[in-house]
Order: sequence, then C-alpha cells, then structure tokens
Amino acid sequence: MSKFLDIKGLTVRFGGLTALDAVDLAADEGEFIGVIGPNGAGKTTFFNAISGMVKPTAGTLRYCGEDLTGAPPYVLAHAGMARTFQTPRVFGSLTAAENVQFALDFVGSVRRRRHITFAEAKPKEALLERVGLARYAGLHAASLPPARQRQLEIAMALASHPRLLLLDEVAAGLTEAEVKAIAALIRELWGEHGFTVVWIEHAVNVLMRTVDRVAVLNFGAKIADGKPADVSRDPQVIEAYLGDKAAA
Amino acid sequence: MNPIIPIVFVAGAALGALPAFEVPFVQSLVLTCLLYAGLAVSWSMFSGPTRYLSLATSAFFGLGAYCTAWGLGKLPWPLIILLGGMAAMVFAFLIGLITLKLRGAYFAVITYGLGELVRHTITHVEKTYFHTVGRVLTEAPSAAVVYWTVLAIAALAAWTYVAFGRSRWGHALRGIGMDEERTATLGVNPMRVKLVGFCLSSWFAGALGAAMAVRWTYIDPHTVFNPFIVFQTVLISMVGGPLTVAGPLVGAVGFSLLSEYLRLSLPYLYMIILGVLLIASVLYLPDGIAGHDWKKHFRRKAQPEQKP
Ligand SMILES: Nc1ncnc2c1ncn2[C@@H]1O[C@H](COP(=O)(O)OP(=O)(O)OP(=O)(O)O)[C@@H](O)[C@H]1O
Ligand SMILES: [Mg+2]
Repeated sequence: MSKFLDIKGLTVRFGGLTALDAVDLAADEGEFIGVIGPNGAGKTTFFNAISGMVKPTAGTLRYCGEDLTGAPPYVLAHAGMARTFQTPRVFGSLTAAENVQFALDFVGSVRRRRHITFAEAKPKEALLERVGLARYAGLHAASLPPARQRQLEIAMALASHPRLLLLDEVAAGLTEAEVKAIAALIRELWGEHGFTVVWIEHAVNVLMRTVDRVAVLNFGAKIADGKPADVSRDPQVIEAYLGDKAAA
Repeated sequence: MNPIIPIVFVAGAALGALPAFEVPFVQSLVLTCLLYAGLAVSWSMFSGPTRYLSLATSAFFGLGAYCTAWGLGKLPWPLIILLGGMAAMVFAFLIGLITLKLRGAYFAVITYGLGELVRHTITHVEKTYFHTVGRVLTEAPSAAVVYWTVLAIAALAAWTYVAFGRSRWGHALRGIGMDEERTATLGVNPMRVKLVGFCLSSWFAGALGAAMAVRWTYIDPHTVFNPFIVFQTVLISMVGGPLTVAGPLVGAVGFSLLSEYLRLSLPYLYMIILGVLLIASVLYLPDGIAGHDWKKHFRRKAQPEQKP
C-alpha cells in the first residue's frame, strides 16, 4: 500500500531564492499534523506547491496513490484537497453565505464528485453554523475582519468534503481564548470527518497541544518531524526558534 | 408574475411590428440601436463578469459578414446567419486558446492584433484567389428581413446573457473575474469556462455581422472589420455597465440616438464628445449607468453601519 500523501524532495525556487528545499513529508489517511517554522521559513510556499498554485522546481507529490506533481489546482481540489489562505482569499463582494454556496456549487457538487452522497451534503447554513459564522451569513465577506474571513474559508473547505485539509494560520489575529476554541473546533471536525489535517500555525504552544505530529521548517528545509514532545526538545528546533528571537 | 415579462413582450411586439409602418428613417435608427444592443450584450456576456477586455468584436463581426459575402445566393438566409456566428466561434476558440492565459492589457492588445491579422488575411485571400478587393452583395433579402434578423439575434443575445449568467457557467465566470486562482482551488477549470464563455459571446457578434453585411451592398475588409465596431461596443458596454443586461441595452439606445444627433449637428466634435463621455464614465461610474447605485445620491446620509 502506498501512502495517502507522499511528498518527496519538494523544492521551490524563486529566482535565486530557495523558498522550499527538498522537503519530504509522508502521511497516512486521517493523520493530524502541524507545521511550524519561523517567519519566511517556506510554510506557505509548501502549501502553494502542494495545492498546485506554485509549480515545484523539483520533487514529487503523490496523493492517494497518484502522481499529482504540478497538477493544476482544480484537479487537486476535485481529488479532495482543500486549503485556506494566510491572507484570506474570499470573494469580498459576495456574502459569507454566497461564498460557501460557491464552493458547494463547484468542488462540493454532489453531482460532480461521486464520492459525496446526498446524506453527507450539508447546506451552507449548517456549514457556517459549524464554524461559528451563522450570524454573519448575510454580510459581505469583505466587511468581515481577516480572522473571520479565515473561518469562512474553513467553511468553504468543508463544503468540498475534503480528504486532505490544509490550514494556513487560521488562528492568526485571534485572542487567546479564540485560538483555543478554534483548535478545539478543528480537532472536533477532524474527529467527525476523518480527513487528514496539515495545519500551519505561529501559535506554537496551542498547536503542539492539539496535533499528533509536527514538522518544523527552517530556511525552506525540514529540520524535524515527530511527536510534539520530542520535537520541542530537538536542539535544532530550539536553535531555529532562539535564533529567530535573537534576530527579532 | 415578474413585471419584466409583459414589458418585454410588448416591447418585442412593437419592435417586431415596426416595418409594417413604413418609416424608413425610424426603422434604420432602431436597426442601429438593435445592432449595438446585440453587440454590447454579447461583449458584456463574457467581458462583464471576467473583466477580460476583449477587442476581437470587429473580427467576429467581419468574419460573419464575409460568410454572407461568400454564401449569399448559394445558401438559405438562416443558414448563412448560423454559419456567420459559427465562423466567429471557431475564430474565438482558436484565439482563446492562446490569449485567455493572458490578463489585462496583454489580452486586449493581442485580441486586437489577431483581429487585424484576420482582416489582412482575408484581404490577401480575396486578392490572390478571387482577384477582388471587395464584393457586391446582390440577391440581398429585404430591409424588413434584415431588421427582423437583427432583432431576433439581439433578443436571443439578451436571453442568453440572463440564462448563462444564472447558470453554473455564469457563476464560474464571475468567480474568475473576482479571483481566478481562488476559483480554481474551488474546483473550476478556468481555461475551459473562459473558452466556453468567449466562444458563446462571439457567436452573436458573428451572426450580427452576417445579418448586417447586406446593408452595405458593397463590402470590403476595411468596412466590416472596422475597429470602430469594437470601440463603440466597448464604449457602450462600459458606459451602460456590463454587469447587468440592462446596461448594454441602455447604453446602446443612448449611444445610437446621441451619435445620430451629434453626427448631424456637431460632425467635428462627434468623436471628441464620445471620448470625453467614455473617460467620464470610467472615472465616475465604474460600474456603468445601470450598475451604479443611483439611489445613493437621493438617500439621506445613512447612519454608519453597525460593524459586527
Ligand atoms: N511568489 C513569490 N515570489 C518570490 N518570493 C517568494 C514568493 N512567495 C514566497 N516567497 C519567498 O519565499 C520565502 C518563504 O515564504 P513563505 O511565505 O513560504 O514563508 P512562511 O513560512 O509562510 O512565512 P510566514 O510565517 O511569514 O507566513 C520568503 O522569503 C518569501 O519572501
Ligand atoms: Mg506563511
């Protein structure tokens, strides 16, 4: 059996800058993985390369047993890959509800994605409710603060019935209590749906307590990968974060 | 019932009955309105939601007109119209494959350039193989038939605009206009959707070219591939507002009447005034006359909205 997600040597170069340097990451279906790393470590670039938004310079991406290296975003979306964006990319002139409906109409379409059954399909109201945005349903997405827009993106991702959910800093800009709430929510959703989660977050403490496994990126390369308790003791990781603090 | 429906029926019946009254001046003015309404609606169908500024309309129109030039007397009139639209569609498909990957000014410039290329190709083909620079169109159908044909194409364009806009395709096109990459991550293949939208909209411009060709009795590439056709179409759509079907319709009627008036009374200032109008509308009415929130100006200053 091949792995659910098998990334090998993934590399992205922007001109002379190596934003992502030969990163490997393999995951079984249903894993709950965190990704951390200092600013500019290449975390978002890693997601961009996985989700087809940036063509990798080198390396391979195998997903559900298929080689999908360099596949366009819509193919990956139909294969069950959903993501959120650090800089939210919702349709600002549509309402929150319309944004979710857009996802339901395309990647979440019961007619087009045969593995979605009518019983599983949830209406947009239920999805907004699930991420705690029910009362903003009729507001234009642009009028929501960025943190709420990222929650809206979670609802849009859920609309697509993902098998792999990529979350990019969904807890940014939230209060400490809200960060805990969203971590609990993501863990709950993971339990309900059984999808695989890869979650990038700057709030290292909360993330470490929520995930089962964590990978650390630094200067584009993966420097650690394992149980949160082990990773937090890793001297290279401590060095990377201390170095970051010293520089800041 | 939607109050629009009876209005559309009455307007359609009145327009359809016009040739019976034998008022050639009015009929020709209305024909101009219908032509520009059809062209602007078809342009807005694709360029409105996607914000791709297409300058290929003259080429679509000219290809349609040349279908008529070649087919008149050999094929039945409805088939000529159909083929005129199809010729534009084939051309739209081919240039779409190349240009729909581009954005902004590049798309506009390349669609314009490829249109010019077609014009020169046809000039060349006519000269080399048919030893002619233009063609006299004999056996043309009556003015009433041409009028009804243009009316039917314009009406079909308006209906298609609304139906397509409400379909999944229309939603996908709007998504592409807002954020193409984001739309792709939600499962839309942007290239496919754009190609379908671009080809669909091109059919109407080609069909209108095919219908209007006989109005000139003598056509050459210079007349039917005239860049003014696309400039006026874009102007009408932008001033009227390409995001609702009312926009290009209102724009076309206003423009046709205004330009008729200006041409007769201020022939020298005509183009300057139209140019100033375009600039003013882009600056002050970015969504066009129909897309603008006019009520805003009459409302009393509203309370600042409660932020959630
Ligand atoms: N499209 C691009 N073109 C050029 N350079 C880029 C591009 N995208 C990212 N980079 C560079 O690649 C490096 C990694 O950026 P990336 O956004 O992946 O970091 P990150 O780990 O997500 O950082 P943060 O924690 O601030 O979100 C940075 O130096 C960034 O400037
Ligand atoms: Mg980032």
